[in-house]
Amino acid sequence: MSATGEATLPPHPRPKTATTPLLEVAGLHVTFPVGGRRLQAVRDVSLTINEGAVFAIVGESGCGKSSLVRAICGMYQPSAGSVRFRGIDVHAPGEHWRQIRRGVQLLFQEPLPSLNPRHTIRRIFWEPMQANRLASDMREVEADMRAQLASVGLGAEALDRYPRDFSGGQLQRIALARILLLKPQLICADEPVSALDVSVQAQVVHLLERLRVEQALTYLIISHDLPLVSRIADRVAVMYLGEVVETGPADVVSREPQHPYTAALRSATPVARMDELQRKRIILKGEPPSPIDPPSGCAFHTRCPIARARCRTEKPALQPPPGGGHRVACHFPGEMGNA
Amino acid sequence: MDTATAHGARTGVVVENLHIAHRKRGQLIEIVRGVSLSVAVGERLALVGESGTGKSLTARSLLGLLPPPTFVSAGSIRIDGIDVVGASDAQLRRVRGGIVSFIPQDPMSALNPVRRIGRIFDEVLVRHCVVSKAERRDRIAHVLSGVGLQQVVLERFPHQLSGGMKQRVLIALALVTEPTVIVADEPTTALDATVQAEILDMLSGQLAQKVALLMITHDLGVAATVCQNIAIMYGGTIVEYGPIHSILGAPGHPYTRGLLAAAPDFDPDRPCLVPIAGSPPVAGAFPPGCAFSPRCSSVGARCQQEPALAGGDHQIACWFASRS
Repeated sequence: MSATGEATLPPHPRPKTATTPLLEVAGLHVTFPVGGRRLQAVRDVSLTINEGAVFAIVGESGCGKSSLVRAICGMYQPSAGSVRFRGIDVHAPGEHWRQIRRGVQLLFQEPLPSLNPRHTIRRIFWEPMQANRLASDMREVEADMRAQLASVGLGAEALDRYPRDFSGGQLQRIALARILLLKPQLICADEPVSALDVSVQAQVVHLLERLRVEQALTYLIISHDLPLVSRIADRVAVMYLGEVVETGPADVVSREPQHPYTAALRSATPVARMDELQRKRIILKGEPPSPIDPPSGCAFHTRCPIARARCRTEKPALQPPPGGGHRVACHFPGEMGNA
Repeated sequence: MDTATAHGARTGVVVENLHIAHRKRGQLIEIVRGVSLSVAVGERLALVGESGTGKSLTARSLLGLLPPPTFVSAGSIRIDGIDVVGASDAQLRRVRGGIVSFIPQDPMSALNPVRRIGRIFDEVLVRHCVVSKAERRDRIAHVLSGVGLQQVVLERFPHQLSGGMKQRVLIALALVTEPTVIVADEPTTALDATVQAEILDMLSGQLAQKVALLMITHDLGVAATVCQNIAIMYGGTIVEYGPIHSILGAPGHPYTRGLLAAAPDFDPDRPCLVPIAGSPPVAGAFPPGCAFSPRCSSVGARCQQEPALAGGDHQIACWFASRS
């Protein structure tokens, strides 16, 4: 069973029409108690994802991007703020949670550990459908399963096989098909292609893009890969120590970063091109500070190459710079951009 | 003082026609099929490939650390004139850590969790016959400052250090015995982008100038950042081998061109994320002839036979290399 290539659809540029908000996050805080102190994993994050959009969250480990996504899915209770999915408060008590759980699905980085090794693909597909009461008998949904397998480029014979029979790229297709059988509106994908081989990554990216159009999906993608995000996402939010430090159109943010952290992230990404190799790299010193005791003022000032006295005391707001443009939380936006 | 001088000059590593295989039901299954490469002291070579191409096995064979039942079925590996393939266990113990150091992929699991960092350094040095306490202290201080760590880390346990600090400790550990060759297997894959940049900067700078560095990676960008030369592996063989600027400037093998086109970059005018159809072959089930031919877009009748690596500085294993 060879995976089909998806050679026809260019991922970029893409018409952007929808403007109806599907997901609205407002002033979200996620806090965990740690030995009598408070770990602030997510601090005052607000974002809006429109229907049909691809929204990316970029950041390094510990920046709070996974906590944010878990709060969005209703897995974590926020300590302040709200998450609204199609206008419904995700965290309000009530019977609507089943509808939200089905509408918001998670796609994991590693497909293999997310699939039960002792179950056939048919049973792997059936369990979430049963849990969501989509059918009372497996035979009713056999045709749906076959159709969804075909839509991810796999044959119906896959239904009787086990996860071990497939390659990484094929498993990610199967994980995707399992989600799609629930007819979700929003897919939260945590590093959806970073565990795959480079030559297979592009196949899955094209598949995600085709499915988004065909099945009217919206994506929230978590990634550390800025070049990838600049190509597949409409909008991006860059997170550092629990906060959004820069947000705007994905191609603009990654090409002309305004925040020094985004600039460092862009510069740190190794790209196999001669002109990229000749760039001077920004090497950040030190480690990210602890989210239990975040620095005063701008949280990035301890590692920022252009930090000044003001950055240590005064917290910059996330707003467009005086000259206009996308929102950035820095007192000196653009000073280190395009290094 | 130098462990390598006891065995001859520090010449680096020369691998010739290396085959690695394992036996399955009496049949010999080849995973690495005729790899030849050389890295001199002061040079940095990246072995680039996707999963299952045999790049990690090639690297591990330099330390005589092939996981059973895999073994070197043909070919030779010479490091500073020592034949690693035919070496006895006693010789290998001197080679490992002494002449060839290893930087692993995952710094989290590579350090003994119940030993302080200082003791781990001492163990390595004592094993390689640096017995005087003063000399050990000098050497450790020297390599620690080289990787930008303070002396206090010697008092710490591994769990008290961040991932980036642990990887710096491992680089320092690799350097402390003054080896000829350092094998680094995906040394930054487990790290964040900004920490990765720091480590890559270290490996490409002053620090590794007195060794022959063989780096294993799946990421052409990482390879290009650190190394002067690149060997692209596919299906157990090297399909393209040459200086980085030559390969990036004029990639000759269709697989290399595919890899470059599949990776995303920042240039909006350049097509990217172009997929290569199919998936990489599984070790032991390589297609006959040119292993890339089932996925190749410009395949011809001659591709039924395996092309040899040919060319001067920049070698390509493709029947249509000159045409493309």
